[in-house]
Amino acid sequence: MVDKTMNRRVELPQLDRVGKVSAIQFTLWIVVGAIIISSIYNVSPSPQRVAEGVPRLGSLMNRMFPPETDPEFLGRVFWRLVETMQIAIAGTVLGVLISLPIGWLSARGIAPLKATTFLFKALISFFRTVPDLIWALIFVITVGLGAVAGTMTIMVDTIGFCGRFFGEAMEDADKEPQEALEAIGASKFSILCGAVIPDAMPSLINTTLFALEKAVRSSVVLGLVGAGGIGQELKSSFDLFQYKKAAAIMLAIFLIVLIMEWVTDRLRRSIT
Amino acid sequence: MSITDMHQDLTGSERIAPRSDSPHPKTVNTSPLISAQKLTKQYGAAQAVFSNLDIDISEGETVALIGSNGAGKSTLLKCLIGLLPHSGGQVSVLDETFSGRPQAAQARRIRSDIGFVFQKHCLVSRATALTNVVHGMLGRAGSWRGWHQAIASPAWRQSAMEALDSVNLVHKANERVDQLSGGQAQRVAIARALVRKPKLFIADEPAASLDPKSGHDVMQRFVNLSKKNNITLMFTSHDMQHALQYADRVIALKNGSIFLDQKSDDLTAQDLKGVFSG
Ligand SMILES: Nc1ncnc2c1ncn2[C@@H]1O[C@H](COP(=O)(O)OP(=O)(O)OP(=O)(O)O)[C@@H](O)[C@H]1O
Ligand SMILES: [Mg+2]
Repeated sequence: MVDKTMNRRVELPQLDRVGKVSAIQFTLWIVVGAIIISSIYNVSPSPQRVAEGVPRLGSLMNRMFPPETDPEFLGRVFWRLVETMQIAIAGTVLGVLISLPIGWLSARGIAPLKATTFLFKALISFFRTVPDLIWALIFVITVGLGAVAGTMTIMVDTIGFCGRFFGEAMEDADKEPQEALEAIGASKFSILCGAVIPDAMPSLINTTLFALEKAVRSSVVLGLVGAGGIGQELKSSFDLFQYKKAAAIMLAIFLIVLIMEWVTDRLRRSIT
Repeated sequence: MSITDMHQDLTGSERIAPRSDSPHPKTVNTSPLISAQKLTKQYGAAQAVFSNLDIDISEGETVALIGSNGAGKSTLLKCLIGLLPHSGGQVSVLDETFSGRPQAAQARRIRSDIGFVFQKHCLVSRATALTNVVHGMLGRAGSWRGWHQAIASPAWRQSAMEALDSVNLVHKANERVDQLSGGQAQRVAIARALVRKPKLFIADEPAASLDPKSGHDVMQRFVNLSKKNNITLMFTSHDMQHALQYADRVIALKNGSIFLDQKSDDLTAQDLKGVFSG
């Protein structure tokens, strides 16, 4: 016997292959397309420019090798690298120390004042959205050329980064112990120190290590605008067409960033 | 009474000092520890969770509060100690009387004499058992020293260790809470409540997250500690056996009023069936 339900033809709806496009959507697509095409047209390298550039790159490489090995120069580079690391470490530590209270004040449900959390969030965003080279320019003008301007730049940059992630880590901390301590009358600050920070600790350490890594990378270029560190040496060797020296410096930078990433990676893995 | 005394009580040794060492000498006090008249609670414009409850609980009593999910047990506990404002009636607890919500100073005094235990242990899981017990001191004067065991005063550390001893967890003092079993963690939570030397224990489903065996173990210790130290204990439970076995008195909430309020000796499991039916 034929099962009638199996044989019945069901009218299935015919679906459009493409969803309906409204006039507004269509206009938007055109505008976005125009922006992309005009951008590529205006600032992308033309094949001709690329073709001309390749031999020049070759000649630059030629002039860079072999990298400079003069011991006196390498000694200077070494001390500049030490200064770079000092800028990164001092800036990160100061930034982290300031990020802790700012992150706390910006954390919803944990900050002592509910009304001002958004103000601190806005401040942190401001620190983060202004690029580090611009902070460096500002500090070079305000506190003068040299490493201090670099340290301040890294500090502000770290607050922009750590302030945000510290605040989020605190907001994500386990709520139950906080409520238990609140019930017995603990202050907001005691709850922060007794319950929130211990719970958020792995995340805080993780963020700090990322900030340090980031600081090493950006402290390298700060010298380009006169804010101390190895970047200053790099800029002057480029300015004086001493490409062999530049090559040595770039290799040194490459090494230090690599070592830093390896170290922070190891540290990060040891957190429980 | 000091925690040292509590410990001696528990280990069965003779009580040496009479209770006159208490900083608050007990006057013969016939007024109940908790007393509510015509207590009503309503969340916003919703129907009242309960209304016109009259409850008196005397010092040293162990009271089980039972009722089905949503009956209002947790709400009633919070209203009785002023953690939640009530909508009508009056509450007296630990010699503080208030309508609606207690004044800030009253609330502080009430809290300082209460030890809380919740359904989940509510401990800081990445901190050690000892640090968590020291947390019980927060909300006291100089309480920043209660953030961590390493900075706690010697006296506080000593009290914390004694509290851990009274739940038989001294050997776990330096272990992180996330390394403990659920039952052990709940015992740490009891130690954290005990270290406050409270007059009243408030426990919302203290055994609900535990397996039956650990549940009995925790309830047994908890009730023993309360009895030996003359701490009034009020706990909620879904476990009828816990209510009958560990409480002196059972109060059942149903449909917003008190369905039953009797000495547990006079009750059988059969009597409690009606609490959950219909
Ligand atoms: N913060 C709140 N806002 C509004 N309504 C609430 C709130 N807390 C509880 N309620 C309501 O009050 C009633 C009683 O809740 P309560 O938590 O006191 O019950 P319970 O007896 O403790 O239940 P359970 O056994 O599930 O713990 C429920 O109907 C609940 O929906
Ligand atoms: Mg409840």
